[in-house]
Amino acid sequence: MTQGVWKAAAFLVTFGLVLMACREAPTGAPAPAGQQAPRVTEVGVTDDSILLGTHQPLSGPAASYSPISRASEAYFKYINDQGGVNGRKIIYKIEDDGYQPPRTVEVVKKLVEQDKVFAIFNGLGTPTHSQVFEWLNDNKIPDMYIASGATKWTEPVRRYVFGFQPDYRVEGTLLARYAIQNLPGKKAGIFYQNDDFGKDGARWFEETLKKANYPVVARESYEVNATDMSSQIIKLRDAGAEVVLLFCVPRPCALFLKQAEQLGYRATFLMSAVSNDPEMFNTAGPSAMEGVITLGWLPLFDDTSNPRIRQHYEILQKYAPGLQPQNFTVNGQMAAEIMVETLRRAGRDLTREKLIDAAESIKDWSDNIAGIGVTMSPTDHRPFKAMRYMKFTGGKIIFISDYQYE
Amino acid sequence: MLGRLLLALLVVAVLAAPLFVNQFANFVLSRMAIYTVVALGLNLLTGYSGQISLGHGAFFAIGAYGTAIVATRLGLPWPVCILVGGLAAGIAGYLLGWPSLRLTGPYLAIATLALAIAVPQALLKFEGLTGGVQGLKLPQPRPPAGLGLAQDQWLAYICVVTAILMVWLTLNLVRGRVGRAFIALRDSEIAAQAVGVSLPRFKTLAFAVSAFYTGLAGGLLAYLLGYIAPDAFTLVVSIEFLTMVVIGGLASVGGSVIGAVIIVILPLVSSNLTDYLAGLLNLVGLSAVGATTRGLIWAIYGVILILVMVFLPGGLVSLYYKVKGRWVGKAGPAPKGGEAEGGSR
Repeated sequence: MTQGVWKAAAFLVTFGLVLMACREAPTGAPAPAGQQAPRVTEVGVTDDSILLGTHQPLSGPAASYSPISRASEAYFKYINDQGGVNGRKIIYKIEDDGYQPPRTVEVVKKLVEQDKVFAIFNGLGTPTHSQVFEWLNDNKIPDMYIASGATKWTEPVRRYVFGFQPDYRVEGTLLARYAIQNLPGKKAGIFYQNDDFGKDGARWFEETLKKANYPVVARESYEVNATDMSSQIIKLRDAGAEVVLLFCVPRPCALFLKQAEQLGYRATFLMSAVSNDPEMFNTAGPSAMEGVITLGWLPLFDDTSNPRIRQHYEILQKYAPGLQPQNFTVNGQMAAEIMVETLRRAGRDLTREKLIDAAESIKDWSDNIAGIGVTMSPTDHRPFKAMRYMKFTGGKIIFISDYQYE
Repeated sequence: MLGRLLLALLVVAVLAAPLFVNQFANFVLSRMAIYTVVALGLNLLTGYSGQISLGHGAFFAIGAYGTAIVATRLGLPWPVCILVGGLAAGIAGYLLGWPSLRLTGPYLAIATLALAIAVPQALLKFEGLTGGVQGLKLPQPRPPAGLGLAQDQWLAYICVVTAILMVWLTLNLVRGRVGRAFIALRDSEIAAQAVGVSLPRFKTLAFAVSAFYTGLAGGLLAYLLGYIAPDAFTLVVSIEFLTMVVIGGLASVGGSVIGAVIIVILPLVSSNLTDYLAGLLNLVGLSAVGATTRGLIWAIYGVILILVMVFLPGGLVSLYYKVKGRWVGKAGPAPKGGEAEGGSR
């Protein structure tokens, strides 16, 4: 009697459809829309509100990133209390994708098609955001300031897609420049993770060196779950590499440095900011880490001598009680700051097209928590192209330069 | 009679739905249809022929990539591309069927798990064909002129009609010779062989057919999204597939449909639940606690799964039988025996 089964199925599907239908009604514009005549015609913008949406890993393997969006939200609330942006308050809708790419597609579709957000802001993660950025661009939805360092968002430039943090191109270029300026007349080697991330960094490192006729004598790669780096170390050593780029994630980087020390390989190591983490002292040992050069881009959260950091503490205390200041919260505020600035420049007659034009017209704007000068253009959608050199020394990671622009 | 009437109503309702709901609802409906096709395929393998698979995410990926590659390279019409994707997955399933002759239970689960892990890696290696980490973009099918359908409505129709066809096909398959052979092998390999059911033939066939269904669904997904990348086919996808079949009801076509609907809706509903919870906590002045409920989606999801498994081991479809059993016991004649569904395990 399959009809029985069908009845059950009928019930459930109908139930599902009813559920969806119910979900449609109350969304749209969650803001208490003003009673004035509807003057604004852009999606997600009312007379007194702007609706932004994002996908963030609030649960799952990458949940440790969740303070980023909470700090952004706190900053938006702070701006709202100051009167908002051009008379509008920002509403920030955060959807959890659990760092699962298929979930990202779903929550972003929901934000755009059902909640009708004005723009997607600071969507987090390379594998996750990869699923939606083409679709957003095709549908002319602003995809602002993606929280990922991959170069593919901005290369080639897509009109509606903007990067955020300094990407691996900035890192590769700046680490190469360090070698050219501070270690002239030596030979370079490259050690990179055999994927998108590693190849990106290695490529820009090598191209920059090539322009300065700086010799690269060895290129070695590893797979992300490798547990032994000794053959790569020996090859780099035998090729005579005296300056080595390490474009690797923390655990393999630590393993490499530890084994290099055991094998007696001495060189200047230039390491990706991805592995710029005090935990490295524990995993590789303080002696293996001594003298390693890396990069950082945001001010440290515990640098309370910095007035912007003190202001950050106050904002968090008032608008995100219970959220501890940390490097991720500084990152979240930075993202919110540039978004607010872009919205402000787009003006009162806010449209998606005007938002993009405003972002592309930002020039030498440095009134942000890091004080980095931001310049973008129709052919450059990368706001932050500056980092500071840092050095692992004496159990600490210290800044050894001012901001260096790519 | 009533059952048939309800069924007809359901089909009409599902076919009418894309015209009346918004874009996002059409996307959700399309995903339900795609997951239904996967659930039917996996249920043929796991429910009807008793072979477990934790690797259907791999067939899903093969189908999606097969479709996308044929669509972008050769520019063939979409039904052909989806069929090619399904066939590619079917061949892969047939090949995996051979080792499965020697592997059962947990050993088979591990072997299929390996496939689920290997395929996304392989997609990264053959960059020239698959686009590597950049993924592949493919043109979405345009709604035929004259029908007046929007893009999302047309995609929903493609998915829903395919799902309905596959339901019909599956019902015929499990009632026929092949379906009976699957069930016979599941219940006792020795007895089945004694009456002339060829073990290697039907076991590999079960894998091939199951993978074909999943590949078709992958092709639909590629068109629905218009863009695919290896990250979309993580291990979680394979686990979700198995969960959906078990929750809906093993060896049951209706259960497959229910499982697919539930697995698509559950994260959406639980995300709303956490929002309400956060809202309530904010009202009573516990906004700091409220903010932490946002990450609870998966916990709520997990609790619902556990409840279903504890109280309805036969899947959600068994709920219907329980209710019907009582109702029929009081008011109507006893149901006739010989359920063609193959019973739940």
